[in-house]
Amino acid sequence: MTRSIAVHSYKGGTGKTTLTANIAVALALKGRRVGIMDMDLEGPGLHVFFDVDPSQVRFTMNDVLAGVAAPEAATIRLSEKLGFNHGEIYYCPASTRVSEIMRTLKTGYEVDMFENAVKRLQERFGLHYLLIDTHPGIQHDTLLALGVCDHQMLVSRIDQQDIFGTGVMIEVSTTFEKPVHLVLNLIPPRVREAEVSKFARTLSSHFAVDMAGWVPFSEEIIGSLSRSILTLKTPKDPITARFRALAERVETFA
Amino acid sequence: MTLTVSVNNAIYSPPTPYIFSWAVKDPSGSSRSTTSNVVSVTPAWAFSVVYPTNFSGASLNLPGVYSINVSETIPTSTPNVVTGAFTVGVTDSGTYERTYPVQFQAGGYLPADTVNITVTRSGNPVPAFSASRTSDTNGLITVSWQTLPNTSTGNYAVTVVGKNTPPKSVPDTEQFVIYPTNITVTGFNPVKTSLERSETEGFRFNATYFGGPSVTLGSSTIRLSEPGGSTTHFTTASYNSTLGTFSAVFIIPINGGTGTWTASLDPNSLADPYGNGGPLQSKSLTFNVLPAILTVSLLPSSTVLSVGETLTIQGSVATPNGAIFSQGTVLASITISGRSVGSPVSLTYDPTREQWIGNYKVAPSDPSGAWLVTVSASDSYGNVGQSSVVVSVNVPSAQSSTSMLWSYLLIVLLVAALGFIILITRKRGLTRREVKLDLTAIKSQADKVKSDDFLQSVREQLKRKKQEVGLEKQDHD
Repeated sequence: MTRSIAVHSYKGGTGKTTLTANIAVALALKGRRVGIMDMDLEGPGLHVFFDVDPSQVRFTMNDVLAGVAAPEAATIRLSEKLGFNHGEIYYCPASTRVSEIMRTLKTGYEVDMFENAVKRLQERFGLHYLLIDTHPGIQHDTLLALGVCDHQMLVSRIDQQDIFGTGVMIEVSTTFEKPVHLVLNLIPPRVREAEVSKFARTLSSHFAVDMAGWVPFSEEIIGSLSRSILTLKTPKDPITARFRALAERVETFA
Repeated sequence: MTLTVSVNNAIYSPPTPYIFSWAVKDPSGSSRSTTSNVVSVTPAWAFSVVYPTNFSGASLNLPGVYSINVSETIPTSTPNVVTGAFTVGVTDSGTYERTYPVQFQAGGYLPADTVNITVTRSGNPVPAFSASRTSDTNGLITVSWQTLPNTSTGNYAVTVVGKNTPPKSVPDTEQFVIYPTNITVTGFNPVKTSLERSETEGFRFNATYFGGPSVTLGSSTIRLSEPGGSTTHFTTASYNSTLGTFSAVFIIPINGGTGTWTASLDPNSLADPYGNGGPLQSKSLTFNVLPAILTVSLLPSSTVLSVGETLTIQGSVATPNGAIFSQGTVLASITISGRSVGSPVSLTYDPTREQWIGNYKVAPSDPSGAWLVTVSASDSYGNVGQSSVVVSVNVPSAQSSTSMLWSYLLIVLLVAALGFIILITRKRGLTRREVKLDLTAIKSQADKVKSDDFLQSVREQLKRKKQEVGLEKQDHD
């Protein structure tokens, strides 16, 4: 059975897309068939991680949502490019063309259109997981993604504004009666592991959500300018271990 | 519109009269004429006329190209001595950048007529602009369209039609193009002008579109060059609604170069979600990076020692940002009244306790008294720190400790212990102090979102869909 997971954050810059790409790769390296959909329609970024030239993309999620392309036509199989022996990654890009972005934002799209796209991808490619990278904040397209997916993974930094917004997101997410999993990201180096653990327990308790894990701030990730996936590039890096642990946690999602 | 002709090599001695005839053909093909009379007294001179003022029956009411033809009639009859042209448009420019105003002007309408100005893009009317104006007593209308940061780029057309004015021989219509606009960056400044390695530098700047509206969406990459320029780092700035500016942070690496760092916003490094970018030219700032002064906090394990006992020297070392310093060299030297006791002790890092620890065994030859233990921490990058503590050592041959020494020792140790406890408390309480959970405010905000019509609509659609699937399943069963 496929599990669809919306990866979301209240604020931008939480490392949501980095997490999505790395967890997807970690799952694929375990032999899973993983779909990864860029639903950050206002500021797509996954193509940078996967080194996909936007000009070479025939159809995008914008076309799928506008009803002009089938979901599988807007899907790129990356497994060979990423050098996987087993395990698959199917990537659905969003358009990087301003005119198309504006068109989608202007016209919007329907629940049915998005839900059908999710189902069709799951069935067509026999996916184990479909990770959906959303646009940060509380916007209409975000609410759609959160409502349609089986699980919601909320990414937050330890930051007053971010935690506040994440709290709001969790409260809103309960409306859809879907499991919510919290990931604390970009933990500053000066904050100790024990302290993060305690803070995570507090959050988990206050908001009654699953604390999926936390990932420290990484100079290497920042320095890579989103152009590489740490899980592939440096498998022995401690941060990679964190991503793998999160992937393991995703495997426990019912 | 002033039309001017320059004349060279004219006959001027004796003074000679010249007559020129002007003919201006408007876009409909109608030609209007006038003459210029000049008495030549110098070899070079110029003469001008004003169109349409000096041309009987002329106007600038039609859009398009107006061709000019000037002929000399006196002293010699020379047709077409000079030709030229000018263009009249409905817009004040054929191309615009977003956020710039597009000015429309057209004339030749009946006074007080209702004039519709329609802007289309790919044949479709632009909803953001729809205007109807009453022409003035001269039959002129002027309208301005203020474009926005997210106005669609591309080819546009404007058409102006009067309700009662008979159709013009050349309609008032014109194409123009809107391009993405340039974002101007001002006030690019560092938060600190000087800081130590491991500390966090902040950057702030304001970004505005033409006309002054602030840019509040998008991000920018800031390039940081270490002294010498051979090592480069990057950080991302995004809009901080609390500060009302774009902001970014960067942690200076513990091995970062010392001296003057340069942070640059390269051309077009800032982009908003609509495709507008800036700045046009690179913006730079500098700040100074100093070696990190390491904080050494000592905690002696034993206060009074005798011969054969081990003096355990332990303490924590932290970088200026409070991070544990675990890689480097930490040495302890012992002195009494300026004289060295034994050889320097090398401390090793215990990751479990997050402490640097070293031992010194008190020898019979060591002097009794208050030993000053000085611990120095350093790394290969030149970051250093130092701290001292006093311990009392009682060697049999010199068992002359006094109650004053005990008191002194006790006070020193109490102060050291208190300092260490404060340090630990401060570090461990960091997250709790910085991040507070206001559950009431969170719930209140969430309730607002939950009551949003769209959210309710999505819920209803999903619920209905779920029910439909359930019914289908029942039918199937």
